[in-house]
Amino acid sequence: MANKRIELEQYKHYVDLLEEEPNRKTWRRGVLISLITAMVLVLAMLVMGMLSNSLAINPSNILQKPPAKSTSTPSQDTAVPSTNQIPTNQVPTNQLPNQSKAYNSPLAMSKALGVPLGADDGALIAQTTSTQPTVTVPSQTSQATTSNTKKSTGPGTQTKGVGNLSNLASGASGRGFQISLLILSLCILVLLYLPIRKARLEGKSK
Amino acid sequence: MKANVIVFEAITFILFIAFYIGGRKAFGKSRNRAFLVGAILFSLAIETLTVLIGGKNYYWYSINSYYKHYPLGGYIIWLGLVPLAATLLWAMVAATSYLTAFTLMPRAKLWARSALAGGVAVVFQALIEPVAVTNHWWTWNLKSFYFLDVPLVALFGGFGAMFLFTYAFQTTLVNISDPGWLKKVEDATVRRWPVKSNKIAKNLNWTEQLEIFTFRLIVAFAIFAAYMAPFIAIFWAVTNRGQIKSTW
Repeated sequence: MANKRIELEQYKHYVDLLEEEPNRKTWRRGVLISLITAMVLVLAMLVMGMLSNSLAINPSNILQKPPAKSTSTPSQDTAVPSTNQIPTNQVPTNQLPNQSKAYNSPLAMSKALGVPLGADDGALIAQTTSTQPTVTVPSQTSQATTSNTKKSTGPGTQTKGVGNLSNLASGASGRGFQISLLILSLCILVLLYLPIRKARLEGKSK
Repeated sequence: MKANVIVFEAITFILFIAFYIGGRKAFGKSRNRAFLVGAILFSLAIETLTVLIGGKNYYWYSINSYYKHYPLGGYIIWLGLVPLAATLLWAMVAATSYLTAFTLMPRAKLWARSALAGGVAVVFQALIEPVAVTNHWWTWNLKSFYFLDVPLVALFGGFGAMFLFTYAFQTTLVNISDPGWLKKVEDATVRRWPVKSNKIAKNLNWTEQLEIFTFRLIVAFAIFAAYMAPFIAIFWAVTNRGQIKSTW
């Protein structure tokens, strides 16, 4: 009897497992549900990241000052928003054409206004708040220098080098951000697969 | 379809329901509730403190034209300065990290499992943060070194928060124990009121255990603040991105 007790003490873990077998089964199911849901979360983040590539490439997007609330409404005849959505890395520094000008195609309008094709009202791209028909957009370098001189109008400094997301996003022919997200997602999926596999193997061995 | 706040919030709410069901089976009904509520409150405290010290902001973009055409600036439910969706996301990452660590290393020491949980959380954070800042779900405003526009302080913080939360949950509601140094603090404080018992934690009833858990989360929060202070101070001195001005 004493020997049996010692044996049970030594193999306490297994005794506990036997006692908790029904709970372990439920536990395994819970682990599977939770971790598969986590995988779905990872995939959702990956898809949303893929959709955000154009934003990630724009170096001024992350630290851009949000535009103040505007009460003006979009022009009815051209359907151009009053707050022009202008990514600074795509727009030349010359003046934009008059908004009342009719454009032959959406692509032409997109190029002329610097708005990415397909971007609708409220799209998450860099914005300026000018309500003037002609807008002069500063280049990236000039913006960086002005941000140092006019500290009250925006973020202190831009991130540089590896700290800047747009550097990564601009790499690999503009696919850097997407590739990095893909690699990271695969790593997490593998990491989540390991406990799932372990739980399933434990279930099969019972 | 854009990866805006509404999409993020809807996905978070839907997946949280699945997590609640899974966690109920994995932890048990009461423990799961304690885990999720504890995780939400713990993350809420940390996030609120981060917003208050100006390290992070959820509403700059919400109140301006990016999301102004959405009700309440995109985020539907706010818990003070922090949207509910952000805390739910943290709770989901916490549950995933905990289950991963304790399934992969069931016999390892508690600190090692907690460290693994912290590591898993950091990997999740490395995926979520760049997508979040790109889409202005939130904006980091710390004076710090940045990696892909995510402050390194945040990554250290993610590890520390998950480590401490996992440790507190495990020692209070799973493998119930009374660490010596903590027992003295508890005897002088929470065990006088509201617990009013000097029994070891294992012999307390569920309500009293929950009270002890709440107290230990408060202690964990204090330890977290002490752990983060040197990182913030060091990175404040040597940085590659400044803090956004308050007049911005």
